[in-house]
Amino acid sequence: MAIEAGRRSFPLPVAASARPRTPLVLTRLLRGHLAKVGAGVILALILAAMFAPRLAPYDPTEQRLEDMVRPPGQVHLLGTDDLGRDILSRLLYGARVSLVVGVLSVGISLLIGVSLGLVGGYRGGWLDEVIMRLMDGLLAFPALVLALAITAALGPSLSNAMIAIGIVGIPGFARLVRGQVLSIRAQEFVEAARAAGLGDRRIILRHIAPNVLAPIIVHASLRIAFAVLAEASLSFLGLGAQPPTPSWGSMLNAGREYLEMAPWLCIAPGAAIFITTLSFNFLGDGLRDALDPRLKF
Amino acid sequence: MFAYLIRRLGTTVPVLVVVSLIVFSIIHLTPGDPVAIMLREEADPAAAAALRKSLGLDRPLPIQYLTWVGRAARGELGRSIRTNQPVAEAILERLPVTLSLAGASTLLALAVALPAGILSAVRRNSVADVAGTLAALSGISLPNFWLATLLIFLFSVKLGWLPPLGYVSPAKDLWAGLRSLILPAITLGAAMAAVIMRMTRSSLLEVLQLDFIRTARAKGVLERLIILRHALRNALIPVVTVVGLQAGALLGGAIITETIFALPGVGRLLVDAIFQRDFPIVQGVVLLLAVNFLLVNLVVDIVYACLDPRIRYG
Repeated sequence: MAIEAGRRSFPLPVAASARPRTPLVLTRLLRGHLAKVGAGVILALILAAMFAPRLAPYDPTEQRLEDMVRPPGQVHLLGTDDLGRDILSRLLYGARVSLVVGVLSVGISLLIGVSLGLVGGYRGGWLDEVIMRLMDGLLAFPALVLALAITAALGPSLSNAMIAIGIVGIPGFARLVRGQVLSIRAQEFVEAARAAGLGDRRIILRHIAPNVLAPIIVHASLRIAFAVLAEASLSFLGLGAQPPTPSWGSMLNAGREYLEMAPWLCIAPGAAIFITTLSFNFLGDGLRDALDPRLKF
Repeated sequence: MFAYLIRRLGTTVPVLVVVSLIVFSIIHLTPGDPVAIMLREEADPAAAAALRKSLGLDRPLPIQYLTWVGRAARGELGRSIRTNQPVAEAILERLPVTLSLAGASTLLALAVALPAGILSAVRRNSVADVAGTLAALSGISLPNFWLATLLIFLFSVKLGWLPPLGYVSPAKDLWAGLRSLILPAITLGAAMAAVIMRMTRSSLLEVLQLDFIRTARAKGVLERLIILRHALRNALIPVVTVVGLQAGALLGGAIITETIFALPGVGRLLVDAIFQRDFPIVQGVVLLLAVNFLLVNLVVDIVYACLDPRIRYG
């Protein structure tokens, strides 16, 4: 009863000041030219992926053997591949694959990594020790090697590549969040919440989690860049998207055989991967600058 | 220093245990019977039973793990199920190719990144700095398989200067060996150069703002000497860490580079083994790459502690 009264009388200072204020962050983000470019390109990519069926001039999997390896021109803006398929249409549909894999795999990393980091950092003790040793073990593998090992075990497919990339990203989120939680859990507003009788779950979700949001957002945007690159790498090696699914990595790999006579088969998908990854890196860098407390007014 | 060394070694052991558990699990993560997957359509029950027995898959899981890890500690990683060659032998045969590629990439990355990073920091906000930063960001975002493809197109297909594929051991023919390594080394070293360049720039910028640099300037020391003798010495400490970490990760990046340039290294062995479902080879190579990464980290930490005494007492 006393606790209930206490809750009503003294609304807890939920460290609102520590949370990123959206309009301020947005203003700072848009001040950076590179971040603006990154955000613009990503928005365009999302729209292109969403409206691919309307934007694509041809069916991306339809083979037209009479149009094999056509150079870029008026009929096929970016040319055709060795099976007569329109490169532009395949690029547009490929954007769907890249973005979906990028976002979903980072979603897997984020969900599991953030949960582990929150629990380990808040509870401490043997649970934290076990979680962190497991994370150290995962971090001991070079990222692509771990992704390859998991894909090798699960079998080559796009969904398995997505799971593999997701698992590779877990320790990064877990360690980042744990570090933040360790410094936040000793602060007065958490002590106050505990003194008010709030349960661990509520303290973690309502008071600690919102305060670790800023570094998570920055890390997630940079991880999407890695995920897009990793998916392209696995598909390039034949361990990600399987034919006839249009994926930028597999398109580039297929085009290598025709490098001498049809370099456009490699240039277009490679440029798409490069521009997408670069844009997410620009955005991530911009977000980091915008959310860095040292830069606050 | 000795106490730090013991403490640091102590933290490596549990990580090694987790690494061995993960690598051991590869074969057990496969959906379905791993023996049936490895033998594919040619699986007859007798062959399947023999393979199951030779891999120890007919025994309880904890016994399997302990046997596997005990053998791995002695360097016995089993035999390839495709060629029957001992896994350790297959890896050792290909290791020199991967090491020479990694060495050449590291040298190339350092030769480009250190001067570029220093120039960027010294001439902050100049055209050179902006160009360097953009180049570094591009280097990080550039897919190495695309860079390799563009390099082959330009230097092999169009100009005909360098071979597009294949490997010649520098021990057999130095000139041909170096020529066969140039394009793969650029491909593998580009991202590393980008990271080192960014770290050199930011570290040097930080040191250049410290009091002892101001004091040196006030004493009238030449700017060139301030940068080379005073600032760079301190700024390079974090760079050493990054170089070490990148060098550990290089063997991972070598997988794609070796596949594209048809270099018979450890990375290509791994990719071939994945397609052939040759799990003993996959486990062996993945274990080697992870242990290498761990050891490089360990060495980097020790070197860092030697360079900066604050780490030892932290």
